[in-house]
Amino acid sequence: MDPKGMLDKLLREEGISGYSIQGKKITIFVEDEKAAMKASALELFKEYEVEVVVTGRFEAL
Amino acid sequence: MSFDRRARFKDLAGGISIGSEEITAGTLTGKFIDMKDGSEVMVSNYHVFWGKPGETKIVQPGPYDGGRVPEDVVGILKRVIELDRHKELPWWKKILCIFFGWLLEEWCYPEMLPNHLDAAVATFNPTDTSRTLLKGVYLDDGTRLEIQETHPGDGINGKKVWKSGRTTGITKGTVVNDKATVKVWYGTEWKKFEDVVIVEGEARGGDSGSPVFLSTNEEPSGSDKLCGILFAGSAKYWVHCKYKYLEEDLKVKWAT
Repeated sequence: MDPKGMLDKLLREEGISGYSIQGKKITIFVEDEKAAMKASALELFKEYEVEVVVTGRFEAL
Repeated sequence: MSFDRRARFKDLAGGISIGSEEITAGTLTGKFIDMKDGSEVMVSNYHVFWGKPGETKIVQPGPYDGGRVPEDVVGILKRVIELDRHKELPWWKKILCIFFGWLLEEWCYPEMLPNHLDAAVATFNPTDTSRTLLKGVYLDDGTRLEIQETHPGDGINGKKVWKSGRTTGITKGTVVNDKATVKVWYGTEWKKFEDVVIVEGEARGGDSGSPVFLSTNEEPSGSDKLCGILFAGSAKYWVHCKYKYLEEDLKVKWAT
């Protein structure tokens, strides 16, 4: 599966706020530290540099 | 007395309270030109101008800030970008699916288009004809800044931006990601957006619709460029749609 497909699947999980693929870098945005631990533990993207950023939950304002 | 963005304005411009008769309150992005007919129109998020095109009234200030029908009506919802749209099937595929849809169920299911934009356009025809729609955006001291240029919103990682919103006024931020896919909670359901911009900066409920500008100086100035429309956020971040999609999908241009 391509990384976008995997990330789209990951996005459906609770605590995951978003993601970005830019070149060989993947950024995963998460709601809290707990979700950050979960995202950091992923070994799905071995060819990529993975960064996890705690942004909180995005809500329509 | 300090400048009150939630008040009723005679001269409307970006950064003040507005909303459809069906919601609480959001922010007016500003004055735009409808590329379909050349008319002067108002733009904000669809969830701020929520309703039925051709029917729903837009009030300034928004209902939560005291805007009422009919005295505060400033326009009618004209056009929206529906979320979770599906790509239309080509005619030949439609015919095949009419006859063989039961067999080709998955193949016949139309592909979902990505959401890029939470935006809508409304006419400007106020009940009180002395009210006007002006170019530009209000600053925190109540002066109005006219901004001439726009920016598509791409390639701005690490850049400084600012927004003008009904709740938190002018706030500045830094772009942390200019090509993100996010999910946003709309009170009853999640919506997924692609190719949006995440900014480390302050925004709160009621700031939706805020115009976002790419900074050229430390303070807001006329040489800044409109680069997006804010629609979501968390405690320390906001998310905005790129300006280019206002032109490409909603078919409106920033009035200069």
